[in-house]
Amino acid sequence: MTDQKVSEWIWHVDALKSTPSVLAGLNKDQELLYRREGIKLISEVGNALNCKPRPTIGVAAVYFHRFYMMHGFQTFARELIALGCLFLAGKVEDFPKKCKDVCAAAHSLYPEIFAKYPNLVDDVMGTERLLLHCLKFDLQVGLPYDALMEYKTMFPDMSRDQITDAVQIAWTFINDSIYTTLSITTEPQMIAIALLHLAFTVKGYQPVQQNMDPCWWSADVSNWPPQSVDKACHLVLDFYAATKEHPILSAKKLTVYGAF
Amino acid sequence: MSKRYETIRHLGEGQFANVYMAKDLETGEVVAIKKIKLGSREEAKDGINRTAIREIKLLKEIHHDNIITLRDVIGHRTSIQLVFDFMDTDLEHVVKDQSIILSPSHIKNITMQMLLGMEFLHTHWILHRDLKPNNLLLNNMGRVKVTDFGLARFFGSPNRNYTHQVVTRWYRAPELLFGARSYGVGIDIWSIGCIIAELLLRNPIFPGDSDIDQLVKIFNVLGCPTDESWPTMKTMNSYVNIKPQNETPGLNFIFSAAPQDLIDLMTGMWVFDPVKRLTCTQSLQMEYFRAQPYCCLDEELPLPNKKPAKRTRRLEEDGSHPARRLIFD
Repeated sequence: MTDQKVSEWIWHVDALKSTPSVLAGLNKDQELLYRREGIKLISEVGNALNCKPRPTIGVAAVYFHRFYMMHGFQTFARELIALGCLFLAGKVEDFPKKCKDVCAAAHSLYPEIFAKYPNLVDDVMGTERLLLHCLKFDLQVGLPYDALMEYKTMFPDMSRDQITDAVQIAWTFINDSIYTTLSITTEPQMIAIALLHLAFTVKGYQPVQQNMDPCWWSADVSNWPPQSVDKACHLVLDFYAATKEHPILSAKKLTVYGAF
Repeated sequence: MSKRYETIRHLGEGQFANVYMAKDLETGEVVAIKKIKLGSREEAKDGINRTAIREIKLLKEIHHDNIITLRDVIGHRTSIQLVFDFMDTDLEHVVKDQSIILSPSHIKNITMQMLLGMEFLHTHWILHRDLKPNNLLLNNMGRVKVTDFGLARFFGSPNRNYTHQVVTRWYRAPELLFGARSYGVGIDIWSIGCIIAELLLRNPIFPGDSDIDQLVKIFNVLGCPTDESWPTMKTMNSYVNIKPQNETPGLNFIFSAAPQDLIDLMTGMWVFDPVKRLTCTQSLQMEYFRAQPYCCLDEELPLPNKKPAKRTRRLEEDGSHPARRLIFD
């Protein structure tokens, strides 16, 4: 696995073709759906507890994606890992939620999914230790929002309304990007760049640069060709396309492929 | 304990952890292992202690010579252990040890190391929030390291109010005593000022026995803040008007042996308005560090029970002093 890594917590895109879940029999699309369902649980339960995308839900999502680069969905139930990530991220980010509140929210939002856990509080607490260990205690996670805010002042030639508008749209893209595997293949700053670029494209804004370089990000990330930036954007666009047809957890039940 | 570490002895017990001295069998080095308590029911209610999580998160990110190094984290099903550099003592022990003499250049060295560590933390947007002599460790190489990050946190995050019940009372800045819920690096600087004073006096400078008494003790030394010196004072949550004592003795009187440049440094660290208080970086640029006597060498810092390097001399068998010989191999 090590050769598939760019750095400790960033993997090459190809690594997604041979994750523990894939090696244990899921196909890649099935795994992506499982990931989206897990993130949906984090997001919905988090919302119910008044957690914000930045930072708690965002950090929990990164933990979740990282965890499933080391373990398969077949071995560890995503509904438990999701709650564990949310619980842990709350503590790490200084918005602690009581374990019993997390579990109560989960039970009331998704009664069918959590019906099989009569001792959910204990299960989630056990998950916390497992997570700490698997995440190697690297709890501090950078999110793309901070980098995005910095870019707000980078385009002196754009009108204030335009840049505010673009940043707001990019912010929403970042919120939604947690459903994709972007956070484990791309550095937070690069996610910010890609999704701001996407916001510019969607709005038809042309960021003007003194040096006429079409890659306005090249001062921060050099040699990052527009095609690669587009690829990152497509991950998010693919997510929108996929969930438009099939909203995640719309039946409030987890999808099950095969039997394991 | 993990196989890699061999416990030597129990060093102490804190609120959330037991600390052991151990040997790292891989490197042969002596380390300190902090074993987080998980057993008690109180803790078990909400999983792993948040203080421990906070400490791990911060220490994993920061590496500086004057900050305690988190060498390793061992996570088992039943326990979490943090492995730190072993440190021989802390400033509280140094201050209390009557047999230790702290010279001006010792104090300058300690102050500088303390400020360098804290400057690093502050530039990484971390507040310590609980600086006191026993959170400043010292090893036998004379290296001072800031420790105990259980209360530390990243600052500058928007929309967050902090609790004002941080920092052991004697080292607490006046804005905290007035219940400020948003505060900054000034609270750590205030504590550093108190620690320098304690190195000089060998006693805490503001040993308040309640929050009000704490303010009284501070104002008795520094005088009362005014609307001019601290414009936002009266807007604070638990602002109380304290009647000033007629005369304050002045820092020059209290620290009669301290040079003026050191008095100036402390004065800057104890400016009432947190906005106008010195920062670590500004403190390090003060005249005090440019003037003689300069800092001593790290290894010259005194430790409790460390006798000044005595020259051992071997006597001849008949008790007479050996003839001085120069031998060159």
